[in-house]
Order: sequence, then structure tokens, then C-alpha cells
Amino acid sequence: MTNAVHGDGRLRWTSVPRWTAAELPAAASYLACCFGDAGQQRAGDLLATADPGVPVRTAVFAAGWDAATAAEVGRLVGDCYAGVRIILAGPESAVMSAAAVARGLGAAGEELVLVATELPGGGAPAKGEHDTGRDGTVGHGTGEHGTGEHVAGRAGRRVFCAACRQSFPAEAALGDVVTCPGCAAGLIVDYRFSRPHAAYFGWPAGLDLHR
Amino acid sequence: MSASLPLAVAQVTPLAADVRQLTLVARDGGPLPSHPPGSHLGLRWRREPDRVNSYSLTGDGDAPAAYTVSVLRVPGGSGGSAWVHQLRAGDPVDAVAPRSTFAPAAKARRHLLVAGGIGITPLLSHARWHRRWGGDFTLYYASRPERAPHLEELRSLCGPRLRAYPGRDALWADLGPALRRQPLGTQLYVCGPAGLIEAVTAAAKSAHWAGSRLRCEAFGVSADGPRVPFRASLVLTGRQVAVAAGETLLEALERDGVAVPSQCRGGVCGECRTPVSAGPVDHRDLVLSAQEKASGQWIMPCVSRAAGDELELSL
Amino acid sequence: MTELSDFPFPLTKDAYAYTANLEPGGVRRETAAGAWGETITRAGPDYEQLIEERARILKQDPGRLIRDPALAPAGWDTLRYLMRRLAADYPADFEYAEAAGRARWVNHRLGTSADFTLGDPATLPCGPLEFIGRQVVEDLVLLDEREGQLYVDAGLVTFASGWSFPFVAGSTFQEIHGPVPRANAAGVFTRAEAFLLRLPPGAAYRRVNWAFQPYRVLDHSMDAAGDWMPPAARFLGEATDDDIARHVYLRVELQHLIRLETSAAVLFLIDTRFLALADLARVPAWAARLCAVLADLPDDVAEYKGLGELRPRVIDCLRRRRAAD
Repeated sequence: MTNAVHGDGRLRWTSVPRWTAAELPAAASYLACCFGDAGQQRAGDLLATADPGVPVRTAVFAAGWDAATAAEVGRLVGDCYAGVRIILAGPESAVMSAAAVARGLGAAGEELVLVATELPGGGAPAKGEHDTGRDGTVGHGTGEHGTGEHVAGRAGRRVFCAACRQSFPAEAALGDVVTCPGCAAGLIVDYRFSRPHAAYFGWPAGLDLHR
Repeated sequence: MSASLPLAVAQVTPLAADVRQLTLVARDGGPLPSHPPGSHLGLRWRREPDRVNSYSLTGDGDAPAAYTVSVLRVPGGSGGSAWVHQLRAGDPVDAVAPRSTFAPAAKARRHLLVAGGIGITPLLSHARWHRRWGGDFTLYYASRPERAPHLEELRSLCGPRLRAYPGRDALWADLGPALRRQPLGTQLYVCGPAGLIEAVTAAAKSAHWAGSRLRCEAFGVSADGPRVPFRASLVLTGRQVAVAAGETLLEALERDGVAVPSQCRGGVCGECRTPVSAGPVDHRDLVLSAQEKASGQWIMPCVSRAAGDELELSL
Repeated sequence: MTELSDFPFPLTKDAYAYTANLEPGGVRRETAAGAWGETITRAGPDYEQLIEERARILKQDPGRLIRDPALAPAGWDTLRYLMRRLAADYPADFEYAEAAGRARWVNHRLGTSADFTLGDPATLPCGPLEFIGRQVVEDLVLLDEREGQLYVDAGLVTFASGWSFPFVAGSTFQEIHGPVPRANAAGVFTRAEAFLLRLPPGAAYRRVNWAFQPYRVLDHSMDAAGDWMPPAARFLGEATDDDIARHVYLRVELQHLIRLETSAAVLFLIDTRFLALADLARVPAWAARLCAVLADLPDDVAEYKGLGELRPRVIDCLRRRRAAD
């Protein structure tokens, strides 16, 4: 259970986000929330293909994620009308956090356009491959991006502390030990990812004594 | 999976020239199963061949003392509605337990209900539900002035949440713009004639509503396909098994003493997979792959049937 | 002492295969030691002890109860469903009566009762899901259908094994079942979900899950890993053959899936049962079947089921006990 990094076969059927290429869907209006410069750039590229005359609202945030960002994203989503498509562009962890806020407010998966400018494991998606669209859910994954190794590598992730039930940012590969800023517990980053929390599960470290 | 329900007509109430409301109670005077709003009740109006017509339940569905359905008499139809219209208080009715295919979306922020004519029936049930649980809803009801079943009842139930229209043009004058200014999280429901459903679906699509935001109930559709009797020949033993309309192939085989392993009896576990030697199969399971289905070599007898009159099984 | 006669022994064949293994609920099933399955809820001799354990866990960690205001009707639906079932299945222990929206509930086992109005939270000391959840031994999970999928939105789960309810709440059925080896490749969960979405109101189905663990720990959740993992790890390092027989348990989850009648939500009930290896070995047919299944289990499935390194020692233990009879 704590041995989080397994071969490609194991990660394939997990809840880890997977990215597929997609196009900008037609919409009655767009809301673009951009996290960081790369996010703003990619959102702009996508919106350049939109039908003229369709209203667009754009909000730009720093590349990270915090309570103020969450509140503002929530406010923007709450003001949307049916027929909207919400573009969330930036590093994977910011995009998944914003998606969790949007879904919590009732947005359907079909109404979200998720664009990851950086994936865990480092690097940006290959040129020409937009990495936009809904992240592939387990069992329905199409267009797998990268290998298990790639997704498991060291990068900015959010980790869920089982004790605090809060998530925090950390630079970690799956299987690394990180420290919870809330309770100072050492946590092993597991491959299990929760979309509502937009974070990887952090096991208390030091428990797996036998292995 | 379709439990039969012996009912009796308690009351018949005319609602319009060609619309009657039936109040149905359990024949043994016992309780009736509860059901979600928007559910429909199957009424068996002929045996040999088995014919069941489904009608939307207009009640709230919560521990009902009786079921109410409102039935439009369809001239030139196959005869189901005519049969309903000749029922009188005291008549027995064989029904199929309620099935739910048009329930409210629990987490919708707001509900936009659109009803055309007799399509009001499931949405009346929805309106009762939202009044009970405090849901934010608006009901757009278009009907001919001389045939607007439940209009008065809806006025007192819904107050300003009801918008009634004497025809399609008046409806669209309001509904068209309304579809473009609903908050994200609104769920849209439509029930009525095919033309209305098509029009609302097209309008929602052109306003770019996400597909999952629209729930439709078309009339005349039952949840499962029709069940027609057929014969099953067991090639290895030479037996012939007659499968009636009211039973599955699995039930018929078991009735005739043929042992077939089974578990879920619902087309999902794969346990009853049986080899077929001849006869096209009407596949209704969730187990066989598209290739297996196309090969015609297997059948899941708990749900699937012969596509024609006969099947040959390698049993 | 474990009651063998109503234990839901999970293996019906000598080989293991990942299937949806769903079957209608409420059907009696004979086993080599007795029978089980006629009831959908269970209030056995261990009822009071399980209720107390649940209360203790909830006091320490109230986050195991998750409410969703949008699913309030489903919560009341759950309360009514479970009260009716308990009263029907154990009439000497529970009473439930309802008229014109008013209900009366008597729980003779706990010595409590309640008169309340269905749908009115002011007439109960807490929400309906919590109220009934604290009086049943099963974990409760409520699933809502939207976007053509099932979402796990609310529930009360104190006896999870290998997962964390607070972590996954709000996820879809498919997302939660991601980390199960082989089953996804076999399309098991896609089919299972399609089946659940087609369940008519009132239908009840069931399935059985099994795994092994050292020590009879009910709360085997990821949330409580700090409590149960260190003793489990020490056990793996130090256990004698006698320890294996006495302290390794077959953990069986008898799960029921019910399409609730008024809200159309799907209620998932999980009843957790234990059987120590030494007790299991007393039923020769069970010991033989388990040996056969464990011998062929693929490594990743064995690990997922809590065996891993324990497997050869468990098989050995069963064979020795059989030889001794």
C-alpha cells in the first residue's frame, strides 16, 4: 500500500489524472481562469479559435493555489450561466484544484476544459499536443500521456494529510516523504488521487516497518 | 426485475374531453411501493400477446395511499388508451411496479421543467416533490386551452413558478430567451410530444447546454424492449422449451427442469452464458462484447431473447 | 468466539476470478457450516458491541460522517428503508410504524425510541443518516446519479478496509475503484455501474468481498493506519505458526446495493465479518476451498487481498489443521 511506485501496469488503472488532447468546445460563453504565464498563454491560444462574438471572461492568477485564489475562482464560476465552458489552464495541481472548486459548485465535467502546462514528472506536454480537455478518468482513459515513470516523478503536487484532512503543496515524486505544514507529520505520497480534494493521499511515514 | 402489482380502480375522474385520471389502489388493500418523482407505471391491457402501456405517476410517490395516472385517449392507437378509458371503479388492473427513468437531478441548483400537453404528468410529480423539499423550479406548461389537464391544481401548487401557455408560439417567446439566462447548474427537463422534445433538445444544444443537463421523457417508450414469446430447441437433448412473453429464457428453462447456472439474473455477471447453435439473438445483456454478440454464438438467457421465433441452444 | 453458522463464506468455486459477482439480495444461501443471506440488514449477537465501537470511532473522528444537503431526501429514504428492514427482520428487537408522515421507532436492543416527522430534521436529535447510521452495524454510502455516472456523495463509514471515505467523498464510482488490480482491465466496474444505474426503485442486490488481515481490527481504514499498521507490520515479522492460526482473520464484506424508493439514490450497505483461520479450519470444506483458491491467486491480487508474504504460511496453516483432523 505504501509502496506507491509500481510498474506501469498498476498506475494505468488508478485515479491519477491523465491528459488527452482536445479542442476548444463551442459555447455560449467562456470563462478562462489562468494560473501563471504559461497558463495565460495556452488559454489565449485556445480562445483564439473561438467563434467571434461569443463573450469571454478571463482572470489571471499566479501559478500557485491558495485560499484567496479558491474564493475568487468560486465567485467567478458562481456567476456563470448555463452554456458556459470554463477553461482552467496552468500547472496540473492548480488546474485540478480549480476544477474541484468548479465541480463543488455544480459544474459538470463536460463544462470544464482542463489545460495542464506542466505535468508531474517535470516538463511540459509535447508541442502540438494541447493536453487540454477532461483528464481521463480511470477505466475510460484514452490517449494515455507518458509512462508510469513519467507521472510518478518529482514535481509540484498537492498532498492530502490524513490527520489534518487538509491539502498542501509539495515537490515530490510518488513514494517520497513530505512534511505536513499543519501537524508536522511525515507523509508518504501515495498514487491515490482524489478529485474533490485535488490531492494525492499522504500516508503517515514510518509505519511500514517490516518492509 | 419487473414485479407485477395487482391493483384495482378506486376512482375515474374526467380531466378534459379525452383525458381521464385513474386512481388505483392495491387490490388486497395493502400498501403500495413508493417511487421517485417522474416514475411510470405499466398497465397490462392485453394478454396473448402481452401488451403493457406505461403512464407517468402524477403523485408525489412518498408512501402513497393510491397511484394516480392521467391518460389521454389516442384515437387510432393500438388500443391501450381505449382500454384505459373504458375502465370503471372496482375493475381489477394488472400493473408492473413503478420504474424510474425521469427523476429530478438531486444536486441541480435550479430545475427548469417544460411540459407539452399530456406530458405534464411526470412534471406534476416533480413539482410536488420540489414543493415538499424546497427546490427552486419553474414549470413551463404549454397545452391547448381546451385540454390542459391539472392546470388549476398546478396554479395553486406552483403559484408564480408556473408559466402556462395556450400554444407553442407563446411558449417559445418566453422559453427561448429563458434558456440563455439560466445559472450554471440548472437542470432542464422536458416531457411531451416528440416535436416538443426535439425542439427543446435542439434549442438547448444551440445554447450549448451540456448534454447531461437535459433529461427527456418521451411517451410510448417502455424501459425494456418488447417481450415476444418464442421457442427454444435444446439440440443436445432434443427438448423443446416454450418461452412465454411474461418470462425470461432462463426462467422458462428452469421451469422445464433444465439446469443453467445463474447469479445476478440481470445480465451483468456472465454466469448464465449459454452456447447458441442457431437463431438470431436479441441481446440485452452487459457482458458479451460486440464481437461475441455479432457472432451469435452466445446468449445470456437471464435477459436476452430470440430475435425471431426460435433459438437453438447447445444444451 | 466466532459464529460459524451464519458466516457468509465468500468462495463458491475453487478458482478465483474477477467478476461483478452481483446477485439478488435477501436470498438464503446454504454453506458447509449453515446458511446466511435471508436478511439485508443484520442485528446479531455482536450488535451492541459494533454500535458502541462505531460511536467511539465517530467521537474520535466525526469526519467519518459526511452529509450533503442536496441528498437530504436520500437520507430520509435511507432511514425509512433501514428501520423497515430491521423491524421486519428482527421483530422482537425493533419496531417501526408510520402514518401520514409521522413515524415511531423503537430500538429494544439499545433501549431507545423516537417519535418524529419524516422529512423534518427538527424532530430528530441529528440528521436522518446519522440517526439510523448509529443504530445499524453496516457502513452506509449514498450514491447519486448524474452525468450518466454514480457519485459517492454522503455516508457514514467507520469500518472501511484499505480506503478512506473522507478522502474519496465526492468522487465517482469509477475513480474510487481505480486501484483494484485486474478488475478494471476486465471491465468489471464499468458493467457493475451500468447495472446499478438500471436498478428499479426498491431493488436490492448484493455481493461479497474478502481479504485477510492480522488481528481483528474493524477500523482498517487509511484514516486509522497509524493505529493498525505498526502492529500489523510487527506481526508479519514475528508471527509463529500458532499466531497465524489465531490472529490472521478472513475479513468478509457482505455488501448490499439498493435503489431507494423515493429519492432514486443508490444506498450501499457494507456489513463486515471476521473469521479467524483457526475457526475457518474447523470447516473442512472451507479450508479445502480456500487452499485451492489461494494456491492459484496471482501475486498482485494476493497482495491486494492482504496476503502477500503471508500467503504460503496461511496455506500451510490450513493444510496442517486439515491433516490434524
